[in-house]
Amino acid sequence: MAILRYAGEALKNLFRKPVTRNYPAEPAVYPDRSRGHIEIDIDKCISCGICQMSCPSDAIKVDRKEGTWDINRFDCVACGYCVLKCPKKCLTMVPGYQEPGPEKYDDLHHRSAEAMAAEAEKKKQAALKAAAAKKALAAKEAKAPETAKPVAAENADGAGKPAETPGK
Amino acid sequence: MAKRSVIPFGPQHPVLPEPIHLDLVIEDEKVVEAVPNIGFVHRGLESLADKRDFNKMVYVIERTCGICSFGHGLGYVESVEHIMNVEVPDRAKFLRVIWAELGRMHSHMLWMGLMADAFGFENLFYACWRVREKILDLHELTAGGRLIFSVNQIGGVNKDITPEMMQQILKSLDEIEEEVKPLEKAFVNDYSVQSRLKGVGVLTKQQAHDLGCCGPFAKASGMSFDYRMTGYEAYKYLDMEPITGTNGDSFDRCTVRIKEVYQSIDLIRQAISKIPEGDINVPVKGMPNGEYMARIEQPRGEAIYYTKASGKKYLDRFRLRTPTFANLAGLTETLKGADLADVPILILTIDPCISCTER
Amino acid sequence: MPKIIIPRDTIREIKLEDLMENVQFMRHSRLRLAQICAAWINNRYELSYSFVDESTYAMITLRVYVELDQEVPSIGVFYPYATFYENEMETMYGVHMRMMHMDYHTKLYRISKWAAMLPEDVRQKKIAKDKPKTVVPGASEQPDQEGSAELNAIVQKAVPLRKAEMKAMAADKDIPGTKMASSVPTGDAGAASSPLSERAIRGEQMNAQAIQAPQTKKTETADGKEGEQ
Repeated sequence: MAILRYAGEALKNLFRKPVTRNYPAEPAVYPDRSRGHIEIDIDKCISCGICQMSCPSDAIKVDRKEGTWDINRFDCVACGYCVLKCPKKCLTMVPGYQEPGPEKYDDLHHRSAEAMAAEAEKKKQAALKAAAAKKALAAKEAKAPETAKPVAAENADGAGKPAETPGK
Repeated sequence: MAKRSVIPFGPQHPVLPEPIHLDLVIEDEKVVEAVPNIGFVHRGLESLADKRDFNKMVYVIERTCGICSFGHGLGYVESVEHIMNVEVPDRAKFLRVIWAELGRMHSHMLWMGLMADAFGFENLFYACWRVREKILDLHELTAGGRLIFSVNQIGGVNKDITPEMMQQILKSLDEIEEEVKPLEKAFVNDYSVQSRLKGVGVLTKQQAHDLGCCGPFAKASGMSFDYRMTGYEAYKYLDMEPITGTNGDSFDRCTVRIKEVYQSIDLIRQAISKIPEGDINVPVKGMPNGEYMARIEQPRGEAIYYTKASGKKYLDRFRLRTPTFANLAGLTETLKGADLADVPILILTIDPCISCTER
Repeated sequence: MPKIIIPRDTIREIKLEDLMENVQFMRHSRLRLAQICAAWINNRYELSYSFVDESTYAMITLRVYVELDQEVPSIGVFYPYATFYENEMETMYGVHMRMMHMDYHTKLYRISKWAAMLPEDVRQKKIAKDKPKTVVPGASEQPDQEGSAELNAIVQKAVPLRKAEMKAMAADKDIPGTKMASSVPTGDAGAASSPLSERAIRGEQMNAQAIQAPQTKKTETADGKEGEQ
């Protein structure tokens, strides 16, 4: 048992340089994996809305028709779940924390007009192809009862049913 | 009979930054009885279990508490993995052990600093927290956040530790061990510290068992009960023994936690030397169905995670019993017969984490 | 390889009537109470009482199914610290608990909505049915209610006397209506009769007066006389 055991360390501490950094005079240095905030590469986004469904604090809003993506920077807790779930990998987590401010705001991103036009065009092409495929299938079904053997009425009924539903 | 009065040791007090209310019945400056009152930080996290599906719930449960945050995520993920019969790869188990032990070291350094502040030794308080900053730098390097990791997911972990990071961890651990040695001498050998801690708040082994205490609070009274001996995660490959004390007073609780810091450093070195290569997570399909109670050893004691699910994407019930909730009864027992000036020290010896207690 | 202990867990379903006996067995076997958890699943409460063995790390859970308005006895007799878990059950789920060791009266957490974790329609039903708690289940007469003549009588007998009454007692020579009075030698004030026997006489008299009040009940005093006079 002794007194003033810590005195040696305390005196040494007087003459060391401070451990704290001189922020904000020196800028802050964060490691690579530091989770600060979310960035999006908006042209790769397809507005599927999976990031909106996966956010635990409901900070992301996606509008499918308009092609917008907004995030409430103050609600985001930087968990990184949306980054994991995005199918096109357009979200990334970058270092750098959100600055404090007097009121909350939404950070809006809008997909560029070319990207929206390209998606509309792709959808039209896909719809045309689907319609053509349906027409071909209906024509094939119409030909089938003529060439098939008249074995059972059920067969013809079974073949007739799929031909009716696409027309609806 | 001397006159008794009731002093409210209110939610705002200079001991902890967390609110706990105690009504102390004192008689001539000795405490006769204490009635605890909690519920100031109640956020209702358990009722979110039917509004967030079981994958998103990890991020909610992790944010129950800042000091024991990795343990909460780990316990929740373990209980759901047991229900869904998911076998986690070995590399993920070792990574989880490394992060859990780093969390334990950080929690004990924080506690040592607060203890030194409680009996007035502020220089030692800042020295302990300076060591803690090195541990937090390791956290940020490997997981991305200083306190909240967001690394656990059902089926493994979602970030890997590269070999360069492991070398960095080993180097930092050597520095930390060198710096903790003079702090330990100051706690254990200094006369003024001992006169504040020795013989204060004695709890015998029988009393600790009767009151349902757990963690270092009970280990100091001689109860050798540590969940890491059951070998969950990768603890079955590592070599350790639970650390116990003999007298059951505040001094023993202090030395038990300091020795656990050294034990954690040793466990991390063993884990880094034994870690295998492989995947870090497995894909998980389907919905959980069943119930299970997972137990892990948090820095503060035994935490029980009870999950009940019935095939939907929302859980039926999730209940988290934290170790401080179990130690509250032990606290009221140690306070009987103590001086009024010792009340802050005794509250700190149970290592209270009030935000865990009322989730 | 280091030595590890693999714990075994079981869940046993028991009825509410057998709860106290099972818990007494757990206490007798030196197990520690780990947690008490409540849940509302499939339109009934599911209470889980978990006990842990210190040496084998095993966990035994007792599962009790309780209806919405049934009352659960407190196990604070065997485990005093169970009061925190039971108060939490009462605050969050509204389970009626009887005779808790430390009763916080549903205010352990100071939230404005009582029983907030029940679904909303069930909660409204629970608030509508709220009634005062009983002590002995199923008994028509509860020990702590007004009009329970036997317990009131016993309590009355133990009331200490004030100074004026003792003086009056000392001055009394003969107290009519009681058998014991005739056997006690009537002496001077405070001479031969000891205060104890006079206090007993006085107690008998007060007892007799108290029992006279509810005329419908027939009770027996200690000296065998009928209460109705």
